[in-house]
Amino acid sequence: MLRLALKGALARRLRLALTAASIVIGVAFVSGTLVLTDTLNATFDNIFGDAAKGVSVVVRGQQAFAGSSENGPADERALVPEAMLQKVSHVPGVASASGVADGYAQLVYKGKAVVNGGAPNLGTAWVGDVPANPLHLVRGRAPVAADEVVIDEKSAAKFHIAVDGPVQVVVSGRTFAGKVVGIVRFGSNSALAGATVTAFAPATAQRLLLGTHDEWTTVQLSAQPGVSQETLQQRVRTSLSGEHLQVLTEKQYVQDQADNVKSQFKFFNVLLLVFAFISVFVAVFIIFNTFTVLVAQRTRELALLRALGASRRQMLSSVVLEAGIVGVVAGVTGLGLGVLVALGLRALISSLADGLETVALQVQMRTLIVGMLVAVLVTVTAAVVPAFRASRVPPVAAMRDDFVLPTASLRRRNRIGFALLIIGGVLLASGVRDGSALRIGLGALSMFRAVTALSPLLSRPIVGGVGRALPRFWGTPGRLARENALRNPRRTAATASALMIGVALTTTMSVMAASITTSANAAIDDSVGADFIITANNFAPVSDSVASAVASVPGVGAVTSFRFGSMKVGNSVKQVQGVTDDTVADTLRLKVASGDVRSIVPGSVLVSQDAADSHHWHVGSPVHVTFALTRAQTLTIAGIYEKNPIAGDYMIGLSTYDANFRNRLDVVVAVKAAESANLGEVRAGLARALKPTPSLQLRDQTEFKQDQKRQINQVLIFVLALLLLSLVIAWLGIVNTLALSVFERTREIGLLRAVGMATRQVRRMIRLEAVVIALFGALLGVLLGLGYGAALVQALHSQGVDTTSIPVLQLVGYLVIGVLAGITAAWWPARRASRLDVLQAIASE
Amino acid sequence: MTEAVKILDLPTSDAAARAEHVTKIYGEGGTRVVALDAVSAEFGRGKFTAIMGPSGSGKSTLMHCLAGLDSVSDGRVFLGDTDLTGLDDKALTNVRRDRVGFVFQSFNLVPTLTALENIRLPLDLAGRDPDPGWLDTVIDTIGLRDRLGHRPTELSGGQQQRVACARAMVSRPEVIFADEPTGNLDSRSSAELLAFLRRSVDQTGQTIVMVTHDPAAASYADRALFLADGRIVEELDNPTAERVLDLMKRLDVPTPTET
Ligand SMILES: Nc1ncnc2c1ncn2[C@@H]1O[C@H](COP(=O)(O)OP(=O)(O)O)[C@@H](O)[C@H]1O
Ligand SMILES: [Mg+2]
Repeated sequence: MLRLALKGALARRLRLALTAASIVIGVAFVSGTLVLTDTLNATFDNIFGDAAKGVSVVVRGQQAFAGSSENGPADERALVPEAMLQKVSHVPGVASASGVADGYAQLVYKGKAVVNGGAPNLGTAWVGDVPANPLHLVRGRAPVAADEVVIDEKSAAKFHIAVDGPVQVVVSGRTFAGKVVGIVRFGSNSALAGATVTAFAPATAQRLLLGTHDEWTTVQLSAQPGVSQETLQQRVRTSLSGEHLQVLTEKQYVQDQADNVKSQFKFFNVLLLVFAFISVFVAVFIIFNTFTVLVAQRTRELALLRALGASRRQMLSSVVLEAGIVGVVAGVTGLGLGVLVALGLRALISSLADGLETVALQVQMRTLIVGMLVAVLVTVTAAVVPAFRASRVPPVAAMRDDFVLPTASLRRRNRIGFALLIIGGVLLASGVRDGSALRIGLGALSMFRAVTALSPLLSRPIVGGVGRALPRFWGTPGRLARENALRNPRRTAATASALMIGVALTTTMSVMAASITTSANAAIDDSVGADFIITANNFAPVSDSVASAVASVPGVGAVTSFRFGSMKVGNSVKQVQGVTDDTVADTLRLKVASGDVRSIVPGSVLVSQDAADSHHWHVGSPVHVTFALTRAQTLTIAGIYEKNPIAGDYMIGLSTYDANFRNRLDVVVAVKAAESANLGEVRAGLARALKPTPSLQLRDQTEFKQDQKRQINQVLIFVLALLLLSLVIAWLGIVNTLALSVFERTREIGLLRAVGMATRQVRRMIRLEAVVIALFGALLGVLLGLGYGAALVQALHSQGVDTTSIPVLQLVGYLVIGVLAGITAAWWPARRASRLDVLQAIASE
Repeated sequence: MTEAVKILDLPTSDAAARAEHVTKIYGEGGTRVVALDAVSAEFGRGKFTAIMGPSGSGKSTLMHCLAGLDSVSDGRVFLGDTDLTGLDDKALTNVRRDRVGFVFQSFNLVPTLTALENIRLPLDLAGRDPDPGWLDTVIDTIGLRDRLGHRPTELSGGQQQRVACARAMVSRPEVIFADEPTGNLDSRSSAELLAFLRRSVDQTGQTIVMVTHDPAAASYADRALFLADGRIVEELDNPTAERVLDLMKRLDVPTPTET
């Protein structure tokens, strides 16, 4: 039996290879993502391991809760006093203790900001000749005086900065002139995940980066030989008992730091996996289709085997085995391709985060197992129903020319389809109303199943309708093409369904992107009162010196800094914005529901109507919150504003923000010109004021809107690129189905040729059939996608997406792409059909 | 069970296969066709029987019913002492695999397997090793030892049919059923194949039931049954081509032209 399956697979290798190709792409995607994830994780473990080399124990401040990095700076902790450093340095077993001072430092050289994409600009202290120092001098000397710095090798090379080079350094609150006295390398690597590094003498670092002279970000301890990390941790804990400090071993610390960064990549990885599984899902249709056709074509062969004594079980297992073989081949190929995919993605990430030198690709056992499992399980699962059908072939079929495999009745299928459609619709509607992602997902899925189930039914009117034009333009080949597409509605439907998935998702994304853009523009129009908006690339942090520099430009009326952070309200972590106490009403158009928003006095908070409603708050209500740094606090509601997508739910004054956060960096600086000022002059003045901080972008409202749109489109393009893969798979499916149909109709095509059909007409007939099927799939996809898109936009209503906008041109484009997919997919099968030898074709069994 | 059957089926015959009042009806209402109408017949052990009759007379249907390929509407079918009419699919599968062999008019071989693999197929399906002596004998009788590695498409029609016969014999079945095995062959290949079938009856005692409408083919048989409209209308022992032709004329059967 194994031999039979192997031989069968070998004989049908071309058809099976095409089938395998559809799942290969999915497997490559899945395994590539896993390899990339593992590689990045190993890289970060490596980097943070490097950073903490020679360190045994780390002492740092505590945190009430871990904020989310999406809300703003997540690592809000109290500093470690110098006295504690002195204390722990006397703990037995400590070889050396050093204070670390980390913070924001942006280097400016010859009027250019030394940046590396969106990577952090790190300032730190040169801790000296202790094993815990991760920096090694490669040129020059260590910084001693207050204006001396050492910088990282990568930045020095990229911006051609030499030792003795004069630089400007922008730190929190000020910009000062300094001098490069040395070039350093970080750990064994030359870069810290692409971050630029500027190191100062310890006291300078404390003063510039932390704004203090007797505290540290962390204290790092190196153990004497023979003292384990855990032992030292215990001793240090004992000596610091009663202090609000956290004592971690180097292992724990590295783990914590790496996890922080990894969690930021997690979203990206999950996104890739989602699209990988969409590809796999599409492949299921194609595999199912191919095996169904193969079984139908082999009816007589299968019946012969049954007549010779093969049992049902043997028939079932022979088809399943064949699928298994395809799965194994596809799995191996897919894993190989996956490594290439990972290489490509790694290159992409490296170019986005220049200088992120990853470790060698990590191909773990888990990846191999998952890849193989996906390939084999998916192929076998998709082939089970066709295999079951194969086992029902009665032996007499071997002797009858006209035997047709019985299939489940279309009526039942239609009934199930309609039921699913209703269930899906109800789920989707209720999910949208309650904002339940689960119900939306389930609803979308069952609607999707409904449409696939109903597509044979739909194929008659739609394919027939679309096809009506064919005879008019292309005569008999057109007529035959239409009939061929209608001849086996299930096959047409299954082929079209594969394409439908990709097109539906593409349409959904396009509708969402268009709606988000429209809504965002409207939101900016409605809620931004500022004339100019200042941000860094990718919303990287901006020194607070910028706001004060800008405020003194002539003609500037109001300047608002926007800072972000996490705040616990009840048990949930919320985002809170810190805004300049008395200007937010000038730069944001807040619609006041009650209270006063013009001036936010210390200890007070502005909340949105939504937040107030859900907590039953009024002006004057106390709001009990927790900050990571300062723990439980009570704020008083000063004002309530109507929903405003830019303001979010909670706003506090900068004075309150600064009292509860260590972060002093702004994300956005908004500027409102004075009533009488000339906007052009103000802009020129602002540009001059921003000269010392060249990485910043100054935009007016229109430019800001365009920029938002560009960013949304970038995401859209990225997502569409991922969806393109599922379209490629669907395209392969069309090729495969057509090739199988051509093979099946060998005699018929031979007959047509014998009665005078030209090869050109044969090709046209096949091509038109493909176009009709593809157009059918694309049409269903666009319709379904429109539905999904509208539903999702509705669901995002509370997030400020309040207008549904349909990108008609894009959607027409997708239909055109469908037609092109049909034409190109038909090329090879059509060629084959037109090259059939007429006599042989007629004589063939 | 077998005992009970024996008691029921008095007198115990020496038949390898037997039909008792077998009726086969296809379709319903307007499309209803009575393909077999209460047919009773016995096929002797070690005998070569030809089933003859005009096209559509029910020859193939009778053979399918006898071989357990198709179910009967009424009556009973025995293979040796086994009543096939009461068997489920699993048991019928075993019967087909172990106790009968088939040769069809066309589409006899699995195109993806070599000649030898095709011959061994029933054994492979059963998961049994062939009796090497017997396999050799079978291969030698068909005389295709040098073509065993070839695919069906690389063999002539006569050769393919001989491979099919070898496959039918390899599991030493009680009965070989052949449905117009020479239908697609030229007269020379036909003669070779029929001589081969005759030899296997004479030399190894094989029981063969063959459907044909060719009087020359029937002349190789020990006995010929004539079917018309689903009924057995005549029998001939030791038929010759002339006697068969005479009978066919008498029965008003259009005599076949060369196919
Ligand atoms: N599967 C079937 N469905 C309906 N009628 C059938 C079927 N198979 C055979 N018949 C009919 O039964 C009769 C006998 O057919 P068959 O046994 O094939 O005849 P023969 O082999 O003698 O030419 C014919 O009338 C034929 O049309
Ligand atoms: Mg017949």
